[in-house]
Amino acid sequence: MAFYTAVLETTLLFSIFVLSVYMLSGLTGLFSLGHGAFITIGAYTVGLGTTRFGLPIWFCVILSVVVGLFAGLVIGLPTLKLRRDYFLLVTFMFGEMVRALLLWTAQLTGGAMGLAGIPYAAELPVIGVSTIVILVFVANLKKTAFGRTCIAIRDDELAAQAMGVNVYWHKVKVFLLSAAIASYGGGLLALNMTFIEPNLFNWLESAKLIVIIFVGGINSVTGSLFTAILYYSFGEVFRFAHVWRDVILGVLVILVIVFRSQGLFGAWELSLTWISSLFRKIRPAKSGG
Amino acid sequence: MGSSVFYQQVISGISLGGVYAVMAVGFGIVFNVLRFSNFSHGGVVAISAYVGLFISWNIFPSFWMAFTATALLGGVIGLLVERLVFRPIRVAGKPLTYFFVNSITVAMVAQQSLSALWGHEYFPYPTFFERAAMLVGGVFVVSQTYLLMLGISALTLLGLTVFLRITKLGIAIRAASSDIYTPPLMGVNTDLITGVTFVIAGMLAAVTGFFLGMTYSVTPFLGALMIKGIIAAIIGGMGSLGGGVIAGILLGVGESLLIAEVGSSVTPIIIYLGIVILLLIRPQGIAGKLTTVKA
Amino acid sequence: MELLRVDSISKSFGGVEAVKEFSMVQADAEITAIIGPNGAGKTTTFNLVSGVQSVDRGYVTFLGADITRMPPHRIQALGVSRTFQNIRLFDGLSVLDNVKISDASRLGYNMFDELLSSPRVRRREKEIQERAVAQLAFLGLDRYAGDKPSSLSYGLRRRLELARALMPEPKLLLLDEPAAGLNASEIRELMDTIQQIQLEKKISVIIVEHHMELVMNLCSTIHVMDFGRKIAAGTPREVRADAKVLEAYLGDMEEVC
Repeated sequence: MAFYTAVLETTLLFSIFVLSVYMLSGLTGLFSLGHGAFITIGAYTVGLGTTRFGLPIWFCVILSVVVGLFAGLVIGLPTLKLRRDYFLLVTFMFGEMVRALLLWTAQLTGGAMGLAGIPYAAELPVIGVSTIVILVFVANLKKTAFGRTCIAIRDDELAAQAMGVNVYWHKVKVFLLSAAIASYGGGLLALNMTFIEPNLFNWLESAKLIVIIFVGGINSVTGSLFTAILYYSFGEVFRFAHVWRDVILGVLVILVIVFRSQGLFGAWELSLTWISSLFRKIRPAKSGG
Repeated sequence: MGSSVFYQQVISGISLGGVYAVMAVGFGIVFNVLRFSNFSHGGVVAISAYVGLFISWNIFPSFWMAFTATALLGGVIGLLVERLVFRPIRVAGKPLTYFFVNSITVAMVAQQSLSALWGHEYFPYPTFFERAAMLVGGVFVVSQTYLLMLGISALTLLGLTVFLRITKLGIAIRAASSDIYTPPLMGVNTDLITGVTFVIAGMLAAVTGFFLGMTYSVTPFLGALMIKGIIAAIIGGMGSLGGGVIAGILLGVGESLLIAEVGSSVTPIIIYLGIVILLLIRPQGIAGKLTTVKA
Repeated sequence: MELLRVDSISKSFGGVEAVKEFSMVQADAEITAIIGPNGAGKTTTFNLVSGVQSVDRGYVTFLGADITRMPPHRIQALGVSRTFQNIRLFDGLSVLDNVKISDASRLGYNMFDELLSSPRVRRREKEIQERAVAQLAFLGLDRYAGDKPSSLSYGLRRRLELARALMPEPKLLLLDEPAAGLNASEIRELMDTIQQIQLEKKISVIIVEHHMELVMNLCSTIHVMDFGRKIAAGTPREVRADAKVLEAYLGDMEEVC
């Protein structure tokens, strides 16, 4: 039982990360290959705050969001003005830089040896509630003017600009929101795993968060979440197949993009009306039989 | 730093910079023609490093034979990647986003398949040359491997320049840099241009993979060194191949001197910070022009 | 009343001057056209006026305000709206949402209002919804509101672009080849629509167009460009008789008239 609880906790934490990337890549079409850096920043803020400075746990979680936001500003402000490729490449470098920084400051952070002894404070209820709140937030965002604007920027930046959208500023907002969620999730991750190390989230992990969204479908939060849950829970249960799992994911991504580029779920979303319509279909069948 | 140590660092820096330059050009040539950041280049680098390793231990013990065979096979791998992964979406007219997603996926599949098959071990290349070091001008000692790497990188880039400037196909590739999406260019078809571009990129990746393998031994994570090529491409100005070469060499020398002066753990941090500052001041790089979207 | 003043603007790309010292003045609620052979710099002129590309030299003023260096979204907010030659719709959004987007600059509330779904947001969203539906109805697109733009025919997509451009209730509308790819009856509908836009909505319109019948019938003034320069300007009758225009443009004109 404890094992399955742990699997669920990890899967939900990674779902938070996927949701944060969904806003950025799925909705807005911006790719960050250093998104893991925000997770790492969040994790280390909490890890260092609790073990080295003895700060209250939940204060550290708030602090992790603040630090993540600050890092997002530093990276986002100069690069979001430029072509998307620059943003992609600079975030990639940012990810590597955070890793290098953690290794360099080994005296404080433990370097490659990692940081142990973080209190175990993020249990299933906290993680579960956080995931649901973030899910509801992201799913709603899609329906608002804010989300509409994101999709317009993704589809045609120049046309969006000509239609009165302040593209740069909107991108900054999305990036900061996404960074804040990722750092928050990173903070929870530290409080769940109790041990963190600089290689926790390299470029490959960041890349996976992006491709998972494309398998599920960039227009479907449901699809992204479904793929994330499947992928991460599978990985936790079958640890021995860890690397092959990525190979399978990769082949799946290419097949999906070539043959069904809208993703497995297309634009379909799980909604209350859909569930209730399902029940309406089942009930008469039952009474009939 | 003594002057002889200094020169040694500069020489090894130039030589490593030559490898970065080859990497930057391989990344840049695909960016030029298809306008997306081709992360699969790192994957091809890693695969070719293993191919080169296998060939040089098992088939051709001679450096020249092993190197040439690897370079040719790199071209084949490049073409395979293009045909299997990029061509279907190009023909279907998919947005650039999908090219990028496929390219990181290739990099991911390459790294993880290599890990799954051969683990995280380090595999060294054979020692091709008995005499590892040689005297230059009777003053300082230089590794022969470094000189060789530098020479071959220079020749490779020179050969590529000649190809791009003189042959009909090369000129078509350069013309495609301005707009591949307006099809028949000078009578050369788009399929051929993209195919050849990926063959060239694959060969450059193989050259990089072979040299990096000789320098650092082979691991599945070799592809991540791609970041050096990307940095060079950014400094040089995305899309400017000449800028990428200069930037690659500058990066190699800078890195090598920084490592000697301040240590290998701070060096990457300084370089990354430098890039962010450069982008703030001069986003178009040292030689490039900002690429803009057509209305 | 003077709406737009373009004062000898120039723009070059890699040494080639696409637009050379082009000037024009546009008054309130008039329809004018910029014509010229392909590559004459017409679309570039639109890009410069709407801020999509930066002006090298010269000035653009709109309602007396200097908009030369203004970013496109601010120019749009002042009341300059446009369509594109190569239809640029947002394929990830429904037809209705495509129209709603162009009201972004006048949203009047921020992200946090939205998260809390405050009454202000709900009121404003309701109002946007109503106006977007009205725009679609004006162009006969209301029954496609929930569809994706990619499922519409070419002619309907052109009309959707027009609906999107009209949504912010602009003072000046820039139409980049609105008749391209349309058949004869669609072009007649388009001419009626443009006239309605001018007469009922009191919007001033500048049209870049190759279709001479449309240009000659609708426009009070025609500016003719060739190799980035303005070579003539005047009423349709004057332009038709201009020797320079005939020289630069004759072949094309005979083809379409």
